[in-house]
Amino acid sequence: MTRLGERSYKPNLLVLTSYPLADPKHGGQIRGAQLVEHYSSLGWNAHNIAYVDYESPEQLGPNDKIFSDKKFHGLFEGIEVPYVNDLALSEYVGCDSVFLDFCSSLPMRIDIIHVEQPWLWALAERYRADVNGDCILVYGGQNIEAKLKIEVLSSLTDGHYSYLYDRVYTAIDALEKRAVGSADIVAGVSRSDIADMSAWNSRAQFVSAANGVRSFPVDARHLSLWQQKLAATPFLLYAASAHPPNFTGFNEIFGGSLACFPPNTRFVIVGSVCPHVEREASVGPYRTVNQSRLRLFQQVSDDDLAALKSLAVGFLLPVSYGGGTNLKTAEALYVGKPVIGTPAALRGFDDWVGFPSVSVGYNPSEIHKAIRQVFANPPVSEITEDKRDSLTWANCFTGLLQAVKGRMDGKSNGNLG
Amino acid sequence: MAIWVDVTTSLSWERPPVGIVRTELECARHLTIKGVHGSREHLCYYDREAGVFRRLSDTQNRKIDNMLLGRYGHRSDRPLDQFLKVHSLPRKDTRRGPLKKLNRKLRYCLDGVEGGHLKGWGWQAGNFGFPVEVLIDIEGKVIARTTADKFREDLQSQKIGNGTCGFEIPLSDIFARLDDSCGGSANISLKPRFGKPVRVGELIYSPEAFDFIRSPAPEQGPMVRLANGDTYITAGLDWDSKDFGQIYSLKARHGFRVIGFCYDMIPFYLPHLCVGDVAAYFAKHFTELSWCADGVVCISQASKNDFLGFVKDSGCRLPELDVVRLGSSIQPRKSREHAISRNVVRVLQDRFILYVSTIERRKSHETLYRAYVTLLEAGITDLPRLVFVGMKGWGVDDFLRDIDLDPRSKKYISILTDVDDGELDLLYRNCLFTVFPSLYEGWGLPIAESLTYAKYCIASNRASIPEIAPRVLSGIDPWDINAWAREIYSLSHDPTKLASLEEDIRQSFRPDTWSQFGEDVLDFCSRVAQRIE
Repeated sequence: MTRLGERSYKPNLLVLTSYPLADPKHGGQIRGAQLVEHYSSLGWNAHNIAYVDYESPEQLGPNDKIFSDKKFHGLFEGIEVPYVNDLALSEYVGCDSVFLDFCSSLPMRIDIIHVEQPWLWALAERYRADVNGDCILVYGGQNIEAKLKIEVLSSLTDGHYSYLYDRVYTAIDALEKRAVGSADIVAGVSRSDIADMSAWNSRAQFVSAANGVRSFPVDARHLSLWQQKLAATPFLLYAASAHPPNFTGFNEIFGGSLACFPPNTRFVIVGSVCPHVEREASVGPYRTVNQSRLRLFQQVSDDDLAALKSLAVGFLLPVSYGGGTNLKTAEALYVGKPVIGTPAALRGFDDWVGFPSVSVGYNPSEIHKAIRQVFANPPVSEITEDKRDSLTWANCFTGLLQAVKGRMDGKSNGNLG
Repeated sequence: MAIWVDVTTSLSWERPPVGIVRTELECARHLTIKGVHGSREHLCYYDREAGVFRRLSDTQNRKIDNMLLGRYGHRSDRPLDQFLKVHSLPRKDTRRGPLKKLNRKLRYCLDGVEGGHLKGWGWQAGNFGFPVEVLIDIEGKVIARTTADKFREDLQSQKIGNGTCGFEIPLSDIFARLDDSCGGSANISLKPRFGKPVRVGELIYSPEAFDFIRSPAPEQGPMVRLANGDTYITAGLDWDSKDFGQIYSLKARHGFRVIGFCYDMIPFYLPHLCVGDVAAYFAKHFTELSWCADGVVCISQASKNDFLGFVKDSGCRLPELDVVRLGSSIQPRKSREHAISRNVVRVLQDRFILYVSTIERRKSHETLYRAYVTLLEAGITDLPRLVFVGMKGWGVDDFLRDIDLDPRSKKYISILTDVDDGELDLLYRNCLFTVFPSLYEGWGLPIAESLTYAKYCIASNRASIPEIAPRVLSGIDPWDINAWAREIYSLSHDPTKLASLEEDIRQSFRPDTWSQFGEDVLDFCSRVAQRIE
């Protein structure tokens, strides 16, 4: 076994997440899996441990842990509150028993811990304090979580827990500032997020690590299958998970109406967001129009999605709120076809908005107009190959990998004396 | 490049036409020309099941021609057999001559009228392969014929030949050759292959039978493909009969232009005044119309404003819009021997005021009922009869029950349904004035009709109504019952004031004509075509 300081030493890196990466489906999982993959591409031993809600139906990795402790699960300050289980997890991992269990499951000494989101930060911080003082800590901020949590609660609970909003915000804000304050490297997904976190009194090195895309080849068989299924109907595509910003506010974004879609076109939606969109679109005076324009496919494979992206006229991203950058936005931009999105969807892609094929709709009227335009007169894309390639995970993680490698190399050189 | 006028709604209409059906018919009258065979060219209808346009069949053409002449299929409350009887003559052996015994006896039966056909059977033994001919004649002149060669299981089971000796003649074929101004009878004869016609019965009819006969069973006309550059005009009850999504696809394939109509957006903006929750249904209709149509004719500025609001909110495409006023003339039918209905006669004997409209919540007949009760409770009893002319619509069961049971107003209010144009003409001419307290309208055709007769109309001040005759009429809020009561009392007790208002109408109001409507629609079609080119 090579040791730190020896020239052939392979660093050990751990990525900590609150969702499993064994079968990545949603944006966070894809991002986490890409982090492990790209850290591994440096020749390092990169692993993942996830702390997963016991109610999650997802496939677990070999080192993943279940979060089910009733003293914490589903509770905030002892009160049952929905949508704050991640905050409850952050309390749980502060327990001694949890930390001891964590340490005992580590296969070796960890040189770098990369924590996605602040929920598991306590584990990394304590590992550096109690086990390995040289451990490099990287905080991966996907969002400004405190603000996002309040937006989720207010959009999904009808203000029922509004009396807790201040306390929830304070608790999460404190977690984020603690992570940013004690990290060696902070990775943000957008310039805006990095600017916000930089103001939190940290000596960390801030780097950009936007959400990227995977290039997925189109399989001819799947292409043919979807051509038949959709019968050459022109459509706009939206692929999304059931994360609340992906569907709450759907009616506000469209003014309740999908009548802007010509009769022979469709809005194709794939992913776990489907039942939520169907529910949102089925209310109000335009519900019959909406239902006539929607085609919903809840479960699709990567091959299906690649085929759909290839067949789509363009992409429509009705994301209602949220910071960070949107994985689906990056994927849509990468295809090079027209993209229509809300300001929230295109957050972090400001340098793309100037292209004719990229439209931001600030209100229903603008969204409607952009949709009509894209079907009547599709804009020609002026996006270059280089610009598209900047969206790949490899390019997006360049700065992060360089920063982490730089720190690691500095530690190694120091040990070499 | 032809102009095609869709008459889908008229083809299935059996009553005196309401405004929309009338508008569709006037489009047919003014926007098409008669061909060499007498029928109008470029009339079509939409076969929704097949998703195609069709020309009219001969029967359908005749129906439209009749409707344009003011003759409508009229479902009387009395069954057809009150007006049409089949009388079989006593049977006798008609064989003559030395070969009498060699001639086979003619057997027959006149079954009567069923499903719009005269039915029966006729058979002569020994004449297999030569069916008996059936002749209908008037004084020896044959007006319809057929052969008794239809298979019927009942005849086979009764061993009447091999069962292939039944016959059916469409009544429409017989009545097409009869004079509808009077009743009469037609002879029914059977003619064997070798032999003279034998009179076996007669068809006895009265003029009312024509109303039944003119509502033929639907039959399909041949498919027609509209060409690139053609204009397709549709002005009927399109939310029931059309699939504009389908028509959009046809248009994309063949390149014709579409001109649609917007009468009003009431079901979308005021669904509570309609049957059931219809907003979503009509949102779909107007969405597909907006995408499909190159131009939409709105019948008032109010409707146009509503349509623009809908397009803005919904996000659908905005077609070219124009406001075209509907004509307001009523065409009385030519006189007939049958009497004006008893109910109308009774009304004509009184002083009365008239409200012509479907009886439904939106039309606010209750305003008038309450105004009358207000006057009656104030001790004012010398009021004219209040006459409602119109079909019963939605949401008025309780209201009609009130009218029927309320002892105060019961004797003042009459309701007339199934009033034809001739009777309506008489009612307008003889009323004191008309009333129209509707809560919302796309136009308000009965108000214009009233002014055409120089009859003043106490009208609502809502929606499109003020557009009809702004210099002549002042509107009243339909929910201001006291104002309605005051105005009804004033005009029914002050003949000088009423006469002055009527003179204002004669001086200031120029009735809109259907010919002007036709010109305006044609002009709009041209402008739309130029814009596209």
